[in-house]
Amino acid sequence: MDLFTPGAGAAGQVHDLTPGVLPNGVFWTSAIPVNSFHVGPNRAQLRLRRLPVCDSFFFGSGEGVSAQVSCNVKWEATTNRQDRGEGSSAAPDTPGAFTGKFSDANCTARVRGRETGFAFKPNDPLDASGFYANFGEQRNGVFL
Amino acid sequence: MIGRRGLIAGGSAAAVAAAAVGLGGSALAEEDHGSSNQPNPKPPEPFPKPKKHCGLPPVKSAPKPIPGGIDSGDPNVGFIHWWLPGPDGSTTQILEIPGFGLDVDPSTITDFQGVSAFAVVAGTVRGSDGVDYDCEFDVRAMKGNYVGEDGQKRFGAFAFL
Repeated sequence: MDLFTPGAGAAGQVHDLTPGVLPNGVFWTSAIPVNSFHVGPNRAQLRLRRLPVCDSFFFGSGEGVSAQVSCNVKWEATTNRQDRGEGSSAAPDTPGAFTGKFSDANCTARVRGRETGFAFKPNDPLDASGFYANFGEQRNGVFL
Repeated sequence: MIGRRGLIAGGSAAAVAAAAVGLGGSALAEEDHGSSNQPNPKPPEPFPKPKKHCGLPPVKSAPKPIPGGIDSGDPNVGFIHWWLPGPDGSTTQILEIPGFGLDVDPSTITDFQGVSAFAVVAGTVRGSDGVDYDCEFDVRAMKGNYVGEDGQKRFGAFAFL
């Protein structure tokens, strides 16, 4: 979750809030309560409350402070489920090494966070209209 | 500061030649009744509100990272087990990271079977200092069965932020 000086683009990054990297390399991924995330035929929702993260201020800074974030993210399908991925025919270390059925989606998010000396809260919801969102079901690794 | 823009070079080389593979049967998808040809016309019932449970869930064996990924180009970060789904030719709004294509695994964990969601959202947030900061948020969630570091199959949920 990245914050930037208004209008400055990537060079203006001032906050970089992530769960960090596990010793085995799992990247910026945290365990969450199972009932925080739901997927249905046409909708999905992620609600997190005060998830502990680290604010390293900008990517690769090597330093950080403790922080916590909360979010309410909603996906609404805009397409039917479509096959995605190459399954076991793809090399395991390539992007297509999975198989799934996904719907493209509209997505909105309300986010807030806090740390010593700083906090932020939502304005209008963030949205994915400038890039991409999807949700569905998938398998990878030994489940292929 | 290198920033995530440095990921662009590594990401471009990871474009996927699409050859979609069907599931051949319904996956373990909670509350998902499989593919539907028409959107549900009825107003959706709300998902249950989660209990007011803060922070981290009870400890389980950690998941394992997807084997692939890209070199971040930053010595403090190194190789990152991460791909970016997104239409060819598109870039995220603020960091301008290009999407790797649509046949791209959104999960950051391997040996996983379940439901997942992905988005890169952007907009502004209000800081406690009164400033409206630009915000970009690559958010993902995975829930289902996974084989943890201890080799045991478990059920859990994870979020990428």
